[in-house]
Amino acid sequence: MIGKLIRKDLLRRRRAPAGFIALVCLPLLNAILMSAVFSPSSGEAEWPKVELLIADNDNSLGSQLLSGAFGRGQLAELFDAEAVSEETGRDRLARDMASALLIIPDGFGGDLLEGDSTELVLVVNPSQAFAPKIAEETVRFLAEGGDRLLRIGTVPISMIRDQINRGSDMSDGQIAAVSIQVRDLVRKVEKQFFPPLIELAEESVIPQQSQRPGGERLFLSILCGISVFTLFFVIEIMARDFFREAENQVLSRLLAAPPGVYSFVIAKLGFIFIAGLLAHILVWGIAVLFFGVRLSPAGWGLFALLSIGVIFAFTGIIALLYAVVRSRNQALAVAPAVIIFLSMVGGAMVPLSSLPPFMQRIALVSPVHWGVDGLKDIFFFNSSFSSLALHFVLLYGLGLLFSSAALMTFTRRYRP
Amino acid sequence: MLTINELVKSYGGLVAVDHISFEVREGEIFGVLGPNGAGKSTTINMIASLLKPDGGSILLDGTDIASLGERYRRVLGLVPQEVAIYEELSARENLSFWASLYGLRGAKRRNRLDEVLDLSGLKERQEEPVKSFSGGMKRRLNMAIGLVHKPRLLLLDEPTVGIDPQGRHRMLDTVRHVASEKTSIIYTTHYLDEAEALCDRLVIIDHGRRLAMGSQEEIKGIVGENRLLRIVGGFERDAAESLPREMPELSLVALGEDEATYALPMSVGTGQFLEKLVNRGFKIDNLSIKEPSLDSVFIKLTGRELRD
Repeated sequence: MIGKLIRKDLLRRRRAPAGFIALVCLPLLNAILMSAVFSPSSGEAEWPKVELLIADNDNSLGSQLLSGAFGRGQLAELFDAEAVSEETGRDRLARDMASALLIIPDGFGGDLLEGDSTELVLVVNPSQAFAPKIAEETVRFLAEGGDRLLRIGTVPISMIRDQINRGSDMSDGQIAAVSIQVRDLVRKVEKQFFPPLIELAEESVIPQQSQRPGGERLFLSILCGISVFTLFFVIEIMARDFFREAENQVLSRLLAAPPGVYSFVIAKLGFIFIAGLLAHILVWGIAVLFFGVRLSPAGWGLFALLSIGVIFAFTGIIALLYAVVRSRNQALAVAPAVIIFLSMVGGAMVPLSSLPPFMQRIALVSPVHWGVDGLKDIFFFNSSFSSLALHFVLLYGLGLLFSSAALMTFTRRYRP
Repeated sequence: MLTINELVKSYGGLVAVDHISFEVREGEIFGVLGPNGAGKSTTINMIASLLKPDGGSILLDGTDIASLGERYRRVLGLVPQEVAIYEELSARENLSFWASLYGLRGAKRRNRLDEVLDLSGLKERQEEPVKSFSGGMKRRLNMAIGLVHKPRLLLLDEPTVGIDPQGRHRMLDTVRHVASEKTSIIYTTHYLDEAEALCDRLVIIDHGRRLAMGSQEEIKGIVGENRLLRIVGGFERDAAESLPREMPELSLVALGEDEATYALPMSVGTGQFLEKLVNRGFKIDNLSIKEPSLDSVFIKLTGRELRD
């Protein structure tokens, strides 16, 4: 009985496929356009520099070493550093004229030499998306580097400190001794200090594990988000059948016929699920055939498992929403808002890392997050089943929970 | 076959169906007649097990339909007031889907589809998408779906609303044909001519209450051999009320601000009546005379016409 009802709905969709296909093609079109615009493989594209203001309240050798680091080597390509007073820096930040302000406290250099702990303050501009994050990561990295430097460089630092404490000039021999210690120190440190600078650049967008070319990486990254977002909408549009059948009295006819309430609701959930699955297969099928997206057979297996979980969860959420609202108009007002909210906080539209921390925490309750994150893990990290276990448990669990609730609510509504 | 006992249904404070009882026999066309809002569709929805009655019972061959569940739904055919079809599918696909729900398959299903398409006059265009059909054709398909599984009991809820006279005539023929195959039919309508042309027995309801029930002859007997005379114009209320005292054969059926309805036996001429009206100062704008009919019964029972 349920099979007959599902076949009927699929046949109806097959008879009017234009809207369905147009909807499915949207994510691909979006991904193509966005990757064409933002792809770094075009050669001409340049990442915007991070505008970093530095307020050096210490003006010591140590603080100058730190602030000077942003003007040298690869950091100079990433940062546009400018020395300012703390007051000016805060003012310019407040007027959205910089990405971040690094405040080096008074006594910073002395504390370093004494081996005491010290604190750097980084004020970020939240209205800028990526740049403050880069500044934060870099400063944290440099601070850790400085910490290591102190631990490794105990001997030369103590020699310099003793001489300063005595208030006498250093002899040529002492200078030579310190120089030798410093040279040894640099040899030790360079492997730890400079390679991470390079590593920093590699961490920015696409992790090192992915062997995909830049254009494909961006296309795939965008497609992972947009395909999940679109899937949510496809499922919502299919779920409108609940109201369509009630409005044109076919539902009355079905409920007065042998299928009854349970079969009708289960069949409708089944149809929505299958329509979502077909849409997903179509999107990724085109991506494979025409855009060269590749995965290992095991990867495709995980992809299928994850996709089914995502579709199951979305079907349950939308069905429950449609079971709770009283009219089609209410559904049309509420459903898109729910989808957009869950997609936005779930990282389907913008990378999760660019969202404020509290929104990153909210993302954990969005099935969109687990879907997008899982897809990216599969495509970029060659993830295993065990590393995606939490994704599967949550998505299938949400699907089961919401579908059951929807079934009960619909049954209560339709049963005489 | 189907027994309706003291059926009650309320929505909030409004009593939509108020202790209605009737019985439908095997192979008869039973009419449920009443104006819009009388409670016809609510009654049909309860019989179709789409609504739960607040009181009373519905028995099929002596068993409550609530306890029969799917067994009852298998012998029931429903033709809702709205056209309830899938517009994307063809007429044949629509029928095939519904037939499959009732367990028809293979050659049996194909043969039955051919029969029903023939009966509804849709055979020529059976493969076309229904959305290209005219309103009348959609109505015919709506009806055909209700028949496809040869139900024992067919519920027709105002099936001819919005249909042209030719299509209506054809549909009434179809109903007669179905009844001739021993299907019991409950037919709701507010068209008196349809009820008169079609129904073996009927119940007249208004404001959820049963006003009359029986065969057409039995119901028309309520007004007796009287014709109804309805006057619209200007007159004194006292004059209108006292008129039957001067003319004992005459009885006042309904009295409004500018209209009055009287019953007058067929044996008494209307000339005498008109003369008395003029003598009493009645200014007559309009006079209508109704021969004994279901409409005159409804007027006699409610004081207003069915279409009001």
